[in-house]
Amino acid sequence: MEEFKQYLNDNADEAERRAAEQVMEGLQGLRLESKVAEVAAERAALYRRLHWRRIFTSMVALALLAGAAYLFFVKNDTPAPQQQPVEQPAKPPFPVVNQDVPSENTTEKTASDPIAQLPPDERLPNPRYPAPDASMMRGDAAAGKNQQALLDQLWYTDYPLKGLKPGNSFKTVDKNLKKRNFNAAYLELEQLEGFLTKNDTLRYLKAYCLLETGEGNEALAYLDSIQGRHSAWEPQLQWYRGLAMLLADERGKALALFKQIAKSPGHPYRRHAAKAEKLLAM
Amino acid sequence: MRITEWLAPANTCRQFDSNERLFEALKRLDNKAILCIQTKAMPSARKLVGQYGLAPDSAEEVLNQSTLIFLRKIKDGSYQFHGHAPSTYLVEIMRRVALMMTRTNRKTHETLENHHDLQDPDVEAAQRQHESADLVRQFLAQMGEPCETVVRLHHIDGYSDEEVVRQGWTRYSTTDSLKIKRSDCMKKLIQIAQKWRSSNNI
Repeated sequence: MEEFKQYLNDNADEAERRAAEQVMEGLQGLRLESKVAEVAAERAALYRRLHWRRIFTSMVALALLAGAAYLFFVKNDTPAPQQQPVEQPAKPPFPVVNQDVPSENTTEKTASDPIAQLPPDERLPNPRYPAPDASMMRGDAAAGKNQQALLDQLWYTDYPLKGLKPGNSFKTVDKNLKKRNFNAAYLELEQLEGFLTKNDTLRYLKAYCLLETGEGNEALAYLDSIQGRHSAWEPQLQWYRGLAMLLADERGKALALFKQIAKSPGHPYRRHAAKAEKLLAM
Repeated sequence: MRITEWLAPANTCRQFDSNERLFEALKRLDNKAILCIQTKAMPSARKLVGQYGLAPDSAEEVLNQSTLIFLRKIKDGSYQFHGHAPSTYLVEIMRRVALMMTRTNRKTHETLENHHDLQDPDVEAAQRQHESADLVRQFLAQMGEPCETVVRLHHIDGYSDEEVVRQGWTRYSTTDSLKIKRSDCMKKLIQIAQKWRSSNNI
């Protein structure tokens, strides 16, 4: 630039000097414009970076907020883990191989209400369905819970009833019982009772309904009334009598019956009865 | 780094601990110095645009045009450092530029016979320089290579001859040969300008 100015001073005429000045002004203008454009691009990049930082931070803050809300609301709604697994056993819909997980909680174990457990060699699949809720039948809530736990472990009930062939009159009842709709089945049986008096099938079915709805005493009365009259029904009927006795809180009678069944070779409920015997003896 | 710092606009003036240093850097057309004063002046640009009833996106134009005027005044020595913050003077220029832009907008709607008294000398000078820059851009394109690159690298991009030779941006391998070539190119450029002036009776 300096030597250029020198050239202008030494050699140039007026027109050339003016043209040179315009060129120099133009070049300086281009230089400044280029600088300002460069800086503007730099500034835009800075703002863009800042903008994305703010978006990113907002999203992180929102995610944290959502996480906190989830922990606060959802986790609080989750039921607390059961403190007494023995007293409130899991009720799987299907039999599982392992059963009777030993309880670590021994503080609530009493002589009158043993907590039901069995050694592994006596294991049977867990009952398919839980026992009817009979825990509120007794005044003592803790005893009621233990009773329920015991029943849940022994509630080996099944439908169709073994050896029983319900006729056409019991079609609807049969359908309801297969769906485990015991109340509907019982109402149907009540209606049938009006014209099917002293029908053993009806009594057995009624007994089964009452048993599954937790009416131990009434179920026992019906089962007693047909006991020993149909050999094909007898083994299952005996077992159901034992369960009805337990429901009715007649443990002594139930234990005697279970002992008797357990001693009967070839009895289909022999192992079940042995389990019941051991659980009741604990 | 704290989150508030991370989210706040970057402090572009960190390296200029005094107004004098900032002024010296502006004289050298240092990018960081220009960025520093522009960042400082941007909030005022937005405010002025609102005050003068200009479109909100004109703030960028006001700022850039004012920066050009300011840098030109520093370069030609009409702005001298007296201890004040350079950004204060930039804001003052912005005020005048915003006013001129408002007047220009108004002129498109009203026919004013005499509006020369409304002109700002700095803005006029900047306009003249912008016109000259446009012309020189055309002249450079007329000259073609290698003159266009040789002149551009030195006079517009501001690279030293040593840097140009080291980077190999031209075919000239020594600074002397580069200087000789540039001198030839400048003579050609002036001749083109002279021809243009005579053909336009200037």
